[in-house]
Amino acid sequence: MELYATGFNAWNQLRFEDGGNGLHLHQEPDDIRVFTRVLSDDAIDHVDPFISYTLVRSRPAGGLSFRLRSAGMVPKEHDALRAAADDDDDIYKSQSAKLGHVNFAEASNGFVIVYGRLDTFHQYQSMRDLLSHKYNNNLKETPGTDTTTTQHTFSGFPNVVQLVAYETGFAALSSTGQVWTWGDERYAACLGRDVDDDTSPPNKPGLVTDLEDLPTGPITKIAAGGYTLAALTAGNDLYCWGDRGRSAVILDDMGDRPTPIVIDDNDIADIGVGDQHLIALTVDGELFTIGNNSNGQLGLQASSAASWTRVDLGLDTARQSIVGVAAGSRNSFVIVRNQG
Amino acid sequence: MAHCLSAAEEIRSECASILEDKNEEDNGGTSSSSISGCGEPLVQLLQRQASILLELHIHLLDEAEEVKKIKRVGEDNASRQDTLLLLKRRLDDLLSASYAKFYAYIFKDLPTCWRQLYTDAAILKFSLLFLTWPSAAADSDERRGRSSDGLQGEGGTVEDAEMDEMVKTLDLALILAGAAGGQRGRRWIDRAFALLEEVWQGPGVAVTPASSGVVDMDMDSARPSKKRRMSDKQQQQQQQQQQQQGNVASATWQDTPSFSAAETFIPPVKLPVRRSSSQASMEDFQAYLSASPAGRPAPLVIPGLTDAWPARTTRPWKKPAYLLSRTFAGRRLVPVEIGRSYVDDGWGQKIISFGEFLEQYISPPSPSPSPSHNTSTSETNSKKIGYLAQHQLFVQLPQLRNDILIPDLCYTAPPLHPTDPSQDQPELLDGPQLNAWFGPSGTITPLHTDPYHNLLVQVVGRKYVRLYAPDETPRMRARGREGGVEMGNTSFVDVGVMEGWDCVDDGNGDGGGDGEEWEAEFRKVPYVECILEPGDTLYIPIGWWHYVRGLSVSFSVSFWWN
Repeated sequence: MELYATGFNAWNQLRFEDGGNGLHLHQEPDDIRVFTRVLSDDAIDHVDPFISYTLVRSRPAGGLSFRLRSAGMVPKEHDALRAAADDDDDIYKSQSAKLGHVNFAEASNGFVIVYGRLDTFHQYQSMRDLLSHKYNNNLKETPGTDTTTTQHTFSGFPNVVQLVAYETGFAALSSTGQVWTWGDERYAACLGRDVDDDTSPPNKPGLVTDLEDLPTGPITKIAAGGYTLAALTAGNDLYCWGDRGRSAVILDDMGDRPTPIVIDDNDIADIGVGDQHLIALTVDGELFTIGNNSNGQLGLQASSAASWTRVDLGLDTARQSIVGVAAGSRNSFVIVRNQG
Repeated sequence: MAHCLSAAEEIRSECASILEDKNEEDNGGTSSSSISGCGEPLVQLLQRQASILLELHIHLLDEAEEVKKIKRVGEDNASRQDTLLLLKRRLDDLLSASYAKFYAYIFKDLPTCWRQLYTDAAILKFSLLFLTWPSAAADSDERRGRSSDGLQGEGGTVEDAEMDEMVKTLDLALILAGAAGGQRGRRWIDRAFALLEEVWQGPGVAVTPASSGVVDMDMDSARPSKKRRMSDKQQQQQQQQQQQQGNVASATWQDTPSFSAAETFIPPVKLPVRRSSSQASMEDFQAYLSASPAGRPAPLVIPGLTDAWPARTTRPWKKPAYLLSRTFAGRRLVPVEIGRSYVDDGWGQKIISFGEFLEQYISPPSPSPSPSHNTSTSETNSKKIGYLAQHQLFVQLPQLRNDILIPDLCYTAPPLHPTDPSQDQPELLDGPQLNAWFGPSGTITPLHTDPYHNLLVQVVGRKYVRLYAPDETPRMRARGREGGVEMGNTSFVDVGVMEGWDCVDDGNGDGGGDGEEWEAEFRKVPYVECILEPGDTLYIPIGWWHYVRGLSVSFSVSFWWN
């Protein structure tokens, strides 16, 4: 399998071959502006883009097991969290638990969520807060300064399979297709649900009822970035919602409730949401992008795309097919399977 | 140029020391005010850009030398150009990454590091623009030997556009990020503006007190707003200095016209605010505050307090040409509120150049509809109202700050909030907080309360003010939280609409929706009102609800103190 990528590359987070270690003070890594093959392994089953680095779970050629590979610059706090959470039985790990791949989500306003046992979300005001209060790990200079714990726990959310952050909040998906959102009420449109201080407060996980009982089945995947959120149904329909004011209007149809998004009548197989762009894969294996292209995140020539635009990777379609997409804040990833 | 390079050096070494700290994981280390809170990746990215900028400068110098020897188009020009463009894009990446944080956080929770990262990236971007600016080649050491010929910014639109971009880069750092940062920050940017104006206009033309060090800003305060308290003596000295400067520079605007004094509508004043008979001295005013029944002073209009302000005499704010001369020929940017009132739908803010603000909103070329007929619909201007409101203009433009003087009355001890102690704010340690309010006729500030005592000084034009006492708060129809924003200090009632002075077409401005019932009640609430003339000062005690309406082109300054 192969990983293709395009977009923001200021820390070589798209360059797996150098391991991202090739950063020199006097040489700035440029962005990649067309989808380019950045990794080949026997199998690639997970891509997790962060602002300054990319994590990929893959099985190397001839290898027997999957491993995590990273490109770019990993913040020390992220390393510390993974190291600490790895030994913490209280914290739920994803399928790649053996690789220390803890599920956490970090919003742009600093808030961090980890999902733990007893169907509980643990929320902290910052990564530093989480490290110092949960793991007593004072990574940096915080002696005595910040002693108030700002942890919140939200219980009663079973079988969470996905946890994502947008700019000022979070969304979580359960194995039964339920979607919960919570975050800053100034951007209530990102919650995609009714907000009421007593019955469904903005800052606690609340069910997005508009995503229940949809015509094409339950939600099977969610994605979020910037002030835009997206959900896919089992029957390959795409729903989006978010704050138009702050999103620089990526999607014309988007509002404060989940709305079906149509891309040339295609069924949608996968979706990625960046700060100001989206990438979608159709069940026919076609790739579409939309939004801001200032860092080349769309893989197109234009500086932006106001409507969904098909991107051609130049694959050998007889033998190659796209199986998944992902979006970082300003870059995009495509997983390609080679037949035979 | 040296100013730019030393900033780049500083940024590079600060970033390096932050990154070293982290690598060693030692516990002492970096101060909390630095950009270390932005995380190592962004610190490293900034460091790289500073290094590349410095290297670029060396190359450009070398090249300049070579060009002198042999006329040669360097083979690596193309790659140089690529480096340059990438550097600019990366600085824009840093700016947008930190700017996004200004929205993601509630402003009071925004860690200072993001404002500093924005400011440092803006400083580097400005330096890059300056470095590659054609006219800057004449800067640095060679300039000393040259007269200002060829440096006069007479004309090329390309040059103008480049200058505009340089000004914009720094002004956005001042306005959006409050120019945070102890080492450089506001001090660096003020100086850069002074130097830039000198380069542009030739030495001696620009009058920029910032460069003379008169204005010493408080760099490290959590909010970029604090003012240094000056002794009376300092003020006097400063005033004298200004008058001298004023005489020197007056030629350009002396015989130019003033803003129009036209008024479209004048509300009747039936219940006037008490007017003090003479200039109140500090002692008189303290006595007024102390003698007020139950520690509850009433509003008071004080005439004559500001008669000696340069802004009203030798440096006339009523003249557009003067204001333009103090804003880099109108190039400097200001935040402008667009729309009738900040509680209306469709209200917004934008940042435009001061010259554009004057041209489009203060004295638009097409005169507004005839004032002679139908005053109740005077707001039917198709053009939206633009109001430079609630902005700490004098922190951004120190050269205007010196045209006004903080009234002594702000150094009295006013009483606490009469009804709600929770409204009382921590003492403003750095002296009064100044805000500018500059707009055309018809600006409206809806009925609201301030968190401080307020001296509202009318400098140019006239404003109508209506005030309701703190005791009436239960009847003021205060708003609550709206969309996560606390609006409890603002009333639902639109005084102008209630009185029939304005009509609002969205049907929402009737003061809260349930028709005449509330209105009849609200009309019973006692109030006082006044029209402020140029030179008048209105004392608005803390907790008093006030509605303010610009009658003509109007420029006021508010002083908040406690």
